[in-house]
Amino acid sequence: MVKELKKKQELKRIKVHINGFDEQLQGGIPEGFVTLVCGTAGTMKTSVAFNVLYNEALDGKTGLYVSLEQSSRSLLEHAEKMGYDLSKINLVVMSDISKLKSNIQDIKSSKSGSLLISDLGAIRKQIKETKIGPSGDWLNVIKNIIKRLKQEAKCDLFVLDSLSALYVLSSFDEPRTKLFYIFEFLRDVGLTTFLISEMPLDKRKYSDYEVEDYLADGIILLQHTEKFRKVIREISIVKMRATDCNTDVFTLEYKNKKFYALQGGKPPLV
Amino acid sequence: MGVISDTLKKLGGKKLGKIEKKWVFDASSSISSSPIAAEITKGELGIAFGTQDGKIYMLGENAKIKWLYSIQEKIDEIQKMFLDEETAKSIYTTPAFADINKDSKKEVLFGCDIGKFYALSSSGKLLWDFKTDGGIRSSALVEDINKDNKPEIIFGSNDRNLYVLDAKGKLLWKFKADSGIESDPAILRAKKTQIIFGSNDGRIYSLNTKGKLLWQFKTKGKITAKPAVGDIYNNKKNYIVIGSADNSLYVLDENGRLEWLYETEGRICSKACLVDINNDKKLEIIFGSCDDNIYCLSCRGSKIWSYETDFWIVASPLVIDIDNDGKLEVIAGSYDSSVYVLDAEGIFLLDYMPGVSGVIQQPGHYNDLITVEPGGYIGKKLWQYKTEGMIVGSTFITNTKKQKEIIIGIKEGKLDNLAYRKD
Repeated sequence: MVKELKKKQELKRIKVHINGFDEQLQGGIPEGFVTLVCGTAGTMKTSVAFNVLYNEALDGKTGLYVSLEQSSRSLLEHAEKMGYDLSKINLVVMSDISKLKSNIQDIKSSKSGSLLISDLGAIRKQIKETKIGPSGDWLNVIKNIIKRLKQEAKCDLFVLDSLSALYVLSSFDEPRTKLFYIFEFLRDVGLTTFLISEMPLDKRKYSDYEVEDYLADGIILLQHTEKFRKVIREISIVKMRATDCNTDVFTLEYKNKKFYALQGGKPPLV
Repeated sequence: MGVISDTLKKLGGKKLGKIEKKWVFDASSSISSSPIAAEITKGELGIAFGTQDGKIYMLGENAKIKWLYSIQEKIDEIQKMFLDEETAKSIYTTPAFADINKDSKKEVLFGCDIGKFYALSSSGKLLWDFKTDGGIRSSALVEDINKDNKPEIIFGSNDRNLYVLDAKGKLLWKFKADSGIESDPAILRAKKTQIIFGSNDGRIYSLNTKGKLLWQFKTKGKITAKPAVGDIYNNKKNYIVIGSADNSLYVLDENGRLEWLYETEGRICSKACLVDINNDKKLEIIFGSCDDNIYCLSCRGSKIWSYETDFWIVASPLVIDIDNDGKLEVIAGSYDSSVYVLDAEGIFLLDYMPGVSGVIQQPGHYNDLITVEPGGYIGKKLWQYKTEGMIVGSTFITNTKKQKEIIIGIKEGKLDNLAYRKD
């Protein structure tokens, strides 16, 4: 038992790169964990997830961002407006599924960390006119990209944007069973994974089928709160396995090209 | 000593002998389909099964490979991305043996997850193939449904179609269901011949031999089991017995009306066996459930006995006389890795002993209700054989000594041959 506890402390952690927030998580999310990033529209789910992959790429790691609906162009325009210097990382955009091999080669030949944005929206348009048609199993496409990127380009991190879009693209007749196998697949592959989950406006659940909450190793909640006719963004940890975490609610701010988690307008006392 | 222990066993109602392994075959890939055994050519037995890596093995009686067919499909890079490469070629269908070209040899018919259906000659050469737009998990039924003296080949696909092909692989007609079809089709002979099958959205369909819908019945769960058809009441009418993932076993008449249903606590994936186990001229229903139990029901739907294993029963049970004693045994493989050989009739256990006490609970038998009934039947295990993994299917062969041997398909890639041996 004591040995097990020691092991937990020795877990390698991936920073969320939000000032004042990683400290609440013993330094970050344990490597290989599957974390839900949930929130209603406009709570910066995409930005928070992108921020992790960007900063980890600056540290030399390789990340995969699979966007099922938002185009890579829109995503990158937004990132540039937020002040991310994309020239500092090896940014690879995959909008043609047949070019995965050359995309992987681009990553392998780069000396700096890489971020591969897989624009499945564009690929869906490309596939529409082929014999596979729009009804193909997109979950398999995502799994195959992950497998190849992990095996051939030593990918470390993965963001799926979003789970709700995946549910539309793939058949989920038996969601509980299917989600169990998806989460197990992600853990077996060993990528640190962020699954973006679109919460309903009434915030009554974190995810579509609710079973995702139990299957995930961690849940980061992003929300809007109205205070004195002002809407502020907040971030909190709902759960994080193997982590002694602070589950308080923090204000989430983005200034000077960095995210901050604040309490009373100041970084929280640790 | 042997005589004394044999006598004690007999007095205790125990059967002599044991089940032991005769041979094992290692396929080096997960076995995904139930094995099948039959005479391929006169006097020559063949055992066929499919694997997850897209191979069909044909073995002889002594586990020697007669031939091996490997699915060779050219898939372009884009198509590949839409497939789970490890399982894309999986063969989940039980191969069907039938002489489709009247050469007095049995051809082998099967489908695979890539959506192709294949007909191989008795020597393992490709005769023809047929492409569908969905994975094929429904095993083929080969029957002359249009009375042209040629067999037709009937199977379902996950593209929602039930296909009927002629013996040369040409499409005769297809029927579009509301969801994918993984259940095997069966034939019901009534005034009109009906093709019966289940679908992934829980419907049971009946079609005439030209593909016209006669009736449909909705259950609340996916149907993967093959319908069993038989005259269960001995009234010269055929009935359909089929399990659903809604945990219930349904019995329908030839017009699709529900006769009765029996609820278990787990999905029912396997085909039921309809056999007269007690010589009452009516058929009893024996099936496995994912609530870990093997059930034996009367034709009216009351439980005769059940036997609990340690995990799901997905493979269809066999009902044969394994020890040649003139009595039937139920052979069921479980996901708990064991093969159970049960007495088909079960055993009557007394709960109440007049003049001794009110209610006597006997070891291993628990009744939560105090009853005035004298007792009831429970499942009786005769033998149990532990294999090396989850049992996906079973069949049997009759050897040259007229003894029956069981062939067990194990998910972990082994095919076991088990036989009864008198001590």
